Amino acid sequence: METLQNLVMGMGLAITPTNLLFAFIGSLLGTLIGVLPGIGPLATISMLLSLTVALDPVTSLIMLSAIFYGAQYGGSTTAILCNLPGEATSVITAVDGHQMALKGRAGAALATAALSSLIAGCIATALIALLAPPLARFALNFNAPEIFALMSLGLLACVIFSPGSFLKALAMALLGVLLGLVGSDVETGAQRMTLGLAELSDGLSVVSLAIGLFGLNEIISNLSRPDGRQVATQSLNRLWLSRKDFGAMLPAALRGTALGSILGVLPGGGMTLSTFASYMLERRIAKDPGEFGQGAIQGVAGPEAANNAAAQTSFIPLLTLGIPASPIMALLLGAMIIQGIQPGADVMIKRPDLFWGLIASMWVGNAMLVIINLPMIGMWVRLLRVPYDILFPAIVIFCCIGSYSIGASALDLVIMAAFTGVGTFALAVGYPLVPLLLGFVLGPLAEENLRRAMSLANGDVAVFIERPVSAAIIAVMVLLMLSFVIPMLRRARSANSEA
Amino acid sequence: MKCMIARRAFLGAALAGAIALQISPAFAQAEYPNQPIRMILGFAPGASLDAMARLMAEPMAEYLGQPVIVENRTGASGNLAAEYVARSKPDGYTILFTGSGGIVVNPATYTNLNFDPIKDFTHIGSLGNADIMMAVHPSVPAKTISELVDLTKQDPKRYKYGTSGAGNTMHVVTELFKQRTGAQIEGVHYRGQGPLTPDLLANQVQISFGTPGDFRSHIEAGALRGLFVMSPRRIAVLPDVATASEMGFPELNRRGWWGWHAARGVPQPIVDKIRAAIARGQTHPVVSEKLRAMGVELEPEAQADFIRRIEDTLKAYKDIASAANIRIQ
Amino acid sequence: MLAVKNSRDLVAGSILAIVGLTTAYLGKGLSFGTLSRMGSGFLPNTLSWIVVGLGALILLRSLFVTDDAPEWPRLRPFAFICLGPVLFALLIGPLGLMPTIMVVAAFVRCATPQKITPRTFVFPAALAAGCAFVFVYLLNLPIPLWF
Repeated sequence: METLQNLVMGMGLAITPTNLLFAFIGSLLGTLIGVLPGIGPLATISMLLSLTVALDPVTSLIMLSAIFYGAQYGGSTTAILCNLPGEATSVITAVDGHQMALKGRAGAALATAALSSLIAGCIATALIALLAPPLARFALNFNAPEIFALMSLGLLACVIFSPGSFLKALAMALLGVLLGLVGSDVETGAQRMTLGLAELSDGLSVVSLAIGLFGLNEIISNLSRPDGRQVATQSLNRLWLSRKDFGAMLPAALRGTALGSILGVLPGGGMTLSTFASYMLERRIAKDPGEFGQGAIQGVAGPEAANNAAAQTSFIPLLTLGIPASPIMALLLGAMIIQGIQPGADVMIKRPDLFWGLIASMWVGNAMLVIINLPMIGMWVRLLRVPYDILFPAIVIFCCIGSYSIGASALDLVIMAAFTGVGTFALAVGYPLVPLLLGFVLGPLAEENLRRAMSLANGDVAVFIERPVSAAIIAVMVLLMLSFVIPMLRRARSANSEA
Repeated sequence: MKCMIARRAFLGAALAGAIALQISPAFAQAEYPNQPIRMILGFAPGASLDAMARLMAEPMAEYLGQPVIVENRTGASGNLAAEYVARSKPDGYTILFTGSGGIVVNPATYTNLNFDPIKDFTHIGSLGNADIMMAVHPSVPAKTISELVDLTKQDPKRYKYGTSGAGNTMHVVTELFKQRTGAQIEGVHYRGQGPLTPDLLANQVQISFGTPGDFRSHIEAGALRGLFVMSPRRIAVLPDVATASEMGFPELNRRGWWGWHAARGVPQPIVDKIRAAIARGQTHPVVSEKLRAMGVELEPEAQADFIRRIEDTLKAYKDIASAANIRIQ
Repeated sequence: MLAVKNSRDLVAGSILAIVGLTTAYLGKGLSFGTLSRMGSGFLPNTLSWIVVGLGALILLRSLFVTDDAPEWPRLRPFAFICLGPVLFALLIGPLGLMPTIMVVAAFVRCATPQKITPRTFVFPAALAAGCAFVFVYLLNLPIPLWF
């Protein structure tokens, strides 16, 4: 009952004209930067930080948060239309979303992304309102051994469920981990595989990697086809979802929401992991897994929902404990400090207006995002009809600016070009690219936490099975491996007995 | 298309403020400054350093009559930015804003820097100071430094420390603590304070050095305990936490700071003009209040004192780092 | 006498093994450490050799399993798209954003055969103006427009 009263109070704050206006500006700006590759919410929020000093604390947080979750909406647009993931979290959306676009279902794919995000945003926000403190305490149980186990599970599942050769998927995942390890080592500061370049000491840029591997690579393969790019244009006008689409989309979005809500609370790579986890889950339980990779609507709905749910629940550690679980949250923490609010366990009690106003504004913001995005679908879809000889140079330029804008580093552009080459080569000889990217994102986290866990346990390996949560994750890994190996052995045995 | 145009107009209006702040009246002036000033940072947008720089950029631009553009050149813990400014023209149009870490800690812990913190810079002036303190998990029974040291000697594997980064200020003061007190602790390094705090709250590591801002809310909630501050006096936000001197370890007193530096050889009139612009920001009612909220102790300091402080601290940190064998490549 | 049954795995396996050997070489100076204090080279070295092993397995498989030949892209789009960002990197410092966009857009467009029409000149200029508006005026990115 108290929660309800608080929510009503928060809603009263969220729908004041000023706060509505700034939620709208934030959502719009977030959508714009989400659509542009490379330009992320991190850079935008920090540039606006000094401007928001003049605003009321609640208003400023409402706007900055809206930019963040608005960017998650916008990120799917270029992923679907151009196979161009602007961030690691939209890589998996591009896989089936872009296939849908090529088959003339761009409108349906964009609508799926927007609606799944709305569903996820609303449910995850309700979770924050109802369960924030217990969820935050649950997240505190995730320390080095658990994070290591979880990241390893993510990598293992990705390799096992990857279509095509197991060996090649494994090789790409491990290569991704190796690439992720480039840069200075957290524990000793040693420069690893940096070729002596100081610019590489912070590692390879994930944006350059993703844009090169997927976005630019797509252009090369389009231009290499003898008959040019194939977009089924006849049905482009059908923008909305059919009843059948809706039936396939809704359960996937709900499952994605559940996965994203849990993984978003955890520290580190929760958001990226949740999109991949949702995709693997959907393919595993689908009636027709062969449809995945060819434009399955569940392959867009699940990951998009997971991404947006995780974006919302990643606020929980910040709002309840004052712990920023990601760089974006660290930035919002900074915004609170500038406003003279000391974030911590008591924000909910000391500043209920801030806590509940922000939560209520998340519903408002999510609704606004759908209202902003749905009418734009028609415009985006028309973008596909722009002659390709105009579209592709523009995409290349956007990618270059986006990649350059992150650190004003020419090296990032060269890395982007290099990974375009790597992607082209890998596809030519049948290596999958998704495990490479996931290894790149999760591998360094796994390594860091493995070493930390071992140091803190004085080298005792038992720490991984003595702790209940990490033991449970490891048990799931063992089951997963058995479910993969046993059918293989059985096949081998029956082949032998026949021979 | 209509919706697109409306969208742009709207964004334009929303961001007009952002642009207005950057464009100050551009009168052609013969004397400094007659072009925009670039304030170089070694950290990405989002770091607290970035927020401070952007806060200060406004009153400084107002005073100088030219835009002050904050430029993030990230990489190698801020060393790339320092190197870039050290190699820039000493004309006062390229200035480095950095914490004391970039100018006295990294040069002590990194083995292959391409700049000399004394010979390559004109040290312009400081913004203010940062307190450093030790927080422990409440399960640690020690209430004083001596009790903690005794505990660690009884069981050297029992208590672990965590730092916000190998080779940074907190790593060096942790080693300083070990060297001056004889405490026997081992530890791990994190990627910043963000991932470290949950492990500290969850009793994975028990001891950590940080700023009062890092720990304050957790100490007030009882989730951590402040053991001591390394400042000469008790600090206003945590008056219950004793100083190292009160516990009999005055040699542990250390403070960090933030300041501006340019390449060696900037003419003194230009330095004075930048210092005046800094002073304008330090006394600006809104900006100074926001900076205090971020944990900056604003304190005017003569340029000569600033330079002496840099030289003394650098020497002390070099001694600590070489005794502890901290060698970051 | 063993014959190669698929050139795809032959290329894939050998390149992978070479990459693994390269990372092993790059990581050879890093300390291996112990189990309780793993060094910075623990994982890079272990993984590098596993990757070399996987490369060898895939290479071996090319002798027994048949598969399609590699599907190489056309050289012309490959070269122009890969070199576009490199050209951008070279020009952005000395030239600034507007000229860089015009040059790179015209260059990248050559990835497909082009006739010289008014579009050849109008398009890069329009793109540069549009980018300047969105990125520099709207999003306030600190990139100089001109040299």
